[in-house]
Amino acid sequence: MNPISEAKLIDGVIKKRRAAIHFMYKDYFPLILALVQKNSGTRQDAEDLFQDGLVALYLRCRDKELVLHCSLRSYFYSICRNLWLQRLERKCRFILQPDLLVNECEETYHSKTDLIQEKKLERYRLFWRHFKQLPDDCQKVFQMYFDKIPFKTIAKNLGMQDADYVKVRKYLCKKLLIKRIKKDPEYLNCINHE
Amino acid sequence: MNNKEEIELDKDLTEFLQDRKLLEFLQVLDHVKEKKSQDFGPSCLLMAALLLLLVALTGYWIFQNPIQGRYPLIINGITELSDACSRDLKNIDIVIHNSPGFFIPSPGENPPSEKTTVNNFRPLTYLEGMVGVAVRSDHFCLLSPEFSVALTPGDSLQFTWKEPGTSSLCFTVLNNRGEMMVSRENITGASFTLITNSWKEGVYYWKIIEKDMLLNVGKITLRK
Repeated sequence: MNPISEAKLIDGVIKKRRAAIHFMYKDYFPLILALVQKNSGTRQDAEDLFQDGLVALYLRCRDKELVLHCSLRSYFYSICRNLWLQRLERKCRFILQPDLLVNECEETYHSKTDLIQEKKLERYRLFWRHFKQLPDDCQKVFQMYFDKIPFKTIAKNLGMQDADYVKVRKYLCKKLLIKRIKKDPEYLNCINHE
Repeated sequence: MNNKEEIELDKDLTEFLQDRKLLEFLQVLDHVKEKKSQDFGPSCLLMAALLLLLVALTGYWIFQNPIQGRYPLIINGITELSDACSRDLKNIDIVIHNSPGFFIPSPGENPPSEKTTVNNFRPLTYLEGMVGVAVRSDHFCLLSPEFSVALTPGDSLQFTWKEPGTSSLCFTVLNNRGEMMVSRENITGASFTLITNSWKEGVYYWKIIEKDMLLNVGKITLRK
């Protein structure tokens, strides 16, 4: 892939363009799958890692301009590799096998400013999975609340009695979300390994 | 879960829910993943259809071109033969069966191709290993022929054995595809002659069976 199209790809990720993300799934996923499967992981682990890698890339690109000294593919691979290494260490699995594909971006990515907390990404994935399963009104209350829409307006938009009801609903929804997250074996696994 | 973890969870969750852009990004990721699995669905169906077609074609090919690997059919053949042996069919002489897999040219028909001839010499694996092995011959002793003989089409082959008062025998010849070429049942006495008239070049296996017991297996190689 030439630098121009890589720039377009990064731009596509920042702008959440489906075509760009679809391209990355198609082009980069086999690489990540091979990495994970060679290092005591499953296909599901690879899918999770790939999603975390995309989120990490998105957060990195969004927060500040990404200056690459290598191909985007190598950079993305190094993100995923580092995340997987952290995950393996955290879960006391096998040590990552040395591979020839260790890229020229390794050093760049390891700099403190770029280091993305693997634990946080795993939590985000978990939060998102449970957030999607919340009742529709809960999701809307959260979205409007965090968009800083006044409770009164939320009540009006969602056909709720008043602002107080929205506050109670928001409280209950968050409680439900936390309860479900806490029950999730992945979360329990996550905190047990910390 | 202790208080510190509770606080950390609450903090992370709030941070996560506040990040609307990230939520939107995750939503797009979900859409792409769904689309990807939808794309995978039809391709999976296509693969399954192709596989089915391949299986059907293979089945058809095997049915049309019987090969040496059809053991169950052969084993059934033995069973059927054994049953037939118990019947009283005294006046049946050697019967030559023309099987669909065996080329017997009629006037005006082309002779078998070289490939067909070569195929006729492929050994029938499961019988090949039994040639010369006296399976249950403690009271049956075959005097002739040798267990493996080479003949030319039209030759005759005499089978003789010591007659220690055996009950009626059953004799069969199979081609290298496991198809029955000859069967003679209720053979009494101590000899009979097998004539290879109209047989094509190739490898054949004969079996002598007494009741349900396989006594001997031999091989005939027929070559011009």
